[in-house]
Amino acid sequence: MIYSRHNIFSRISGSGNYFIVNLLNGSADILTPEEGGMLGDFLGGKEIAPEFLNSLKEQGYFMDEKEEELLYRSKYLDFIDSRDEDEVQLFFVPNYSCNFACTYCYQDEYANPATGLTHKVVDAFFCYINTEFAGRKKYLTIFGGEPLQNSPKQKEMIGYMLRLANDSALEVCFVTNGYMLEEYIEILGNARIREIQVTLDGKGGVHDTRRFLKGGGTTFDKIVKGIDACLLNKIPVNLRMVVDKENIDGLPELAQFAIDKGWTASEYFKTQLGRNYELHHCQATSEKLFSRISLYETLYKMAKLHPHILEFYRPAYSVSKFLAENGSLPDPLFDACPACKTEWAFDYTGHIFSCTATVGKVDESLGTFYPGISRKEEMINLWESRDVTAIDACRTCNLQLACGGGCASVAKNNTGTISSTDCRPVKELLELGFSAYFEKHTS
Amino acid sequence: MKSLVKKKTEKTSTKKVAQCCAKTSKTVVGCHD
Repeated sequence: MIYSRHNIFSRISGSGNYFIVNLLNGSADILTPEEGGMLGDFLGGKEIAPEFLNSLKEQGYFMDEKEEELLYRSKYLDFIDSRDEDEVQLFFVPNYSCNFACTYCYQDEYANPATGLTHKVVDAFFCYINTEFAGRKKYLTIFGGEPLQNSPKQKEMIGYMLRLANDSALEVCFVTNGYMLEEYIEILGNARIREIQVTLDGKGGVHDTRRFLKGGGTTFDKIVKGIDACLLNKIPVNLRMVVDKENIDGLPELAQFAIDKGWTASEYFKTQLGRNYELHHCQATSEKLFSRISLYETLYKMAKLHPHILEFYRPAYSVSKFLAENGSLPDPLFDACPACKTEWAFDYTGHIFSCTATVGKVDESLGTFYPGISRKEEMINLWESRDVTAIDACRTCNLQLACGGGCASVAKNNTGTISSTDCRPVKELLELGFSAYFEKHTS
Repeated sequence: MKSLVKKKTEKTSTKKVAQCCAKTSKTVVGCHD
C-alpha cells in the first residue's frame, strides 16, 4: 500500500488541528494535533503507529497502487461521461461596445468592428447551434460589451434573439452592467430568463468611482432600480462584485445594503465575487490586485469581523464550502476548463471562439458560423483534449483533482500554450476553508 | 480522526457538481478565476 498520490494534507489555519482530503475516493477528515504530527513525521520518513495507519487505510488515504490507478481511470471515464451529458453554455456577443468606461475593463483594447448585428447573423447563429448541438442540453448567455443598450435598434435585435431562443426552447442568461435593466424589463418578460448577471462594486460612491458612464456619470442608483425591477418580476439576479484592494473594504457595506433591501432573502437573488485580475493585458495599477490566495485570506479575516458578509456571500475556499453544505466532496475535477466542451462563444462578426476569455480576440477564432461555416479542427481538438491527464505538470500533482488545471486561456497567456497549467492555491484555500466551516465542530 | 463525509444513507442530495462548474455561479467569470 502507498500513501495516496491524491492526498491533500495540511494544518488548519489558526488551529492545532490538521485536515486530510482525497478527491479520488471522496474522503475528508480532521486530524488532531497528535495525529497530524504523526502523519507529518511519516511523510518526513518516520514510522507510523499501526493503529493510526489502519484508520488512514480504512479511509482510503493509503491504497494499493494498482487499485488507485484503476480507480483513477474509472473516475476519469465517469467524468467524461458526465460532461458529455452536461448542459452546454453558448455565449453570444451582439456587440463589444459599451456605455460604461470601467477602470479595469479587459476588453478595452479589443477591436470593435463597426459592422452591426444583423438578422442574418442571428438566424445563422441559431441555425448553427441547433445543428451543431442538436440533442445536447444547452442554454444561451448574451454577453458583451454591453448587450442591453438603450437604442431602438438594439432593443429590436435583443427582442428578435429572445424570440428565436423561445422557438428553440432555450433558456437565456444576460451578463449586463444593469444600467438599462428597467428599460428592458418588458422585453425580458417575453423570454425564459434563467439569470441576469449584474455588477455592483460597492455601495454608492465606491461603485461609482469604478463603474461609471462613458463621458462620466454615476450608475449605482439606476442599477439598484433595475435589480429591484427584476426581483419584483421574479427574474433571477446574480449580483457580482468585482473586487480588488481599492474596494474590498466596501464589501461589508454592500452586503448590509443587500440585506436591508431584502435582496438576500429573495429566492431570485444570489451573489458572486469576481477577483479583478489581469486576463489579457496589464492594468495600470496592478499593485491594487489581489492574488487568488490573498483575496481569500482577506475575506476570511473580514468575515470574522463582519459576519453579516456571509449572509451575502459565502466563499468556496476550494472544495470546503461544498463539503460543509453537502456532507460529501464534489466529484474529482479532471478538467476545470469548460472551453469547447461545455462552453462555446460566438460573436456578431460570425466568429466562433472557445469561451468568454477568448471571444473577440480574432487570433483566437476557431472558425465561423457566418457568412459560411468553417472550423479550425486542429485547434478545436487541442482545446477539447485539455485536461489534467494531458498536462505534464498536472499528472504528478496531488492537487490535480481539486484544481482541474485551471483556465486554459490564462495558461496560454502565461506560457504560450493551452496545454499548460493555471494552478490554483488549493492547499492554502483548504487551510482557510476548514477553519471557516469546520473548526468550530471539533473539540 | 473525524470524518466530515456523511455516510450514504445520510446524504440528502445525489447530484454532485464539479466545484468550478456549478451552473448557478458560472454565468461568466467562474471558470477563468
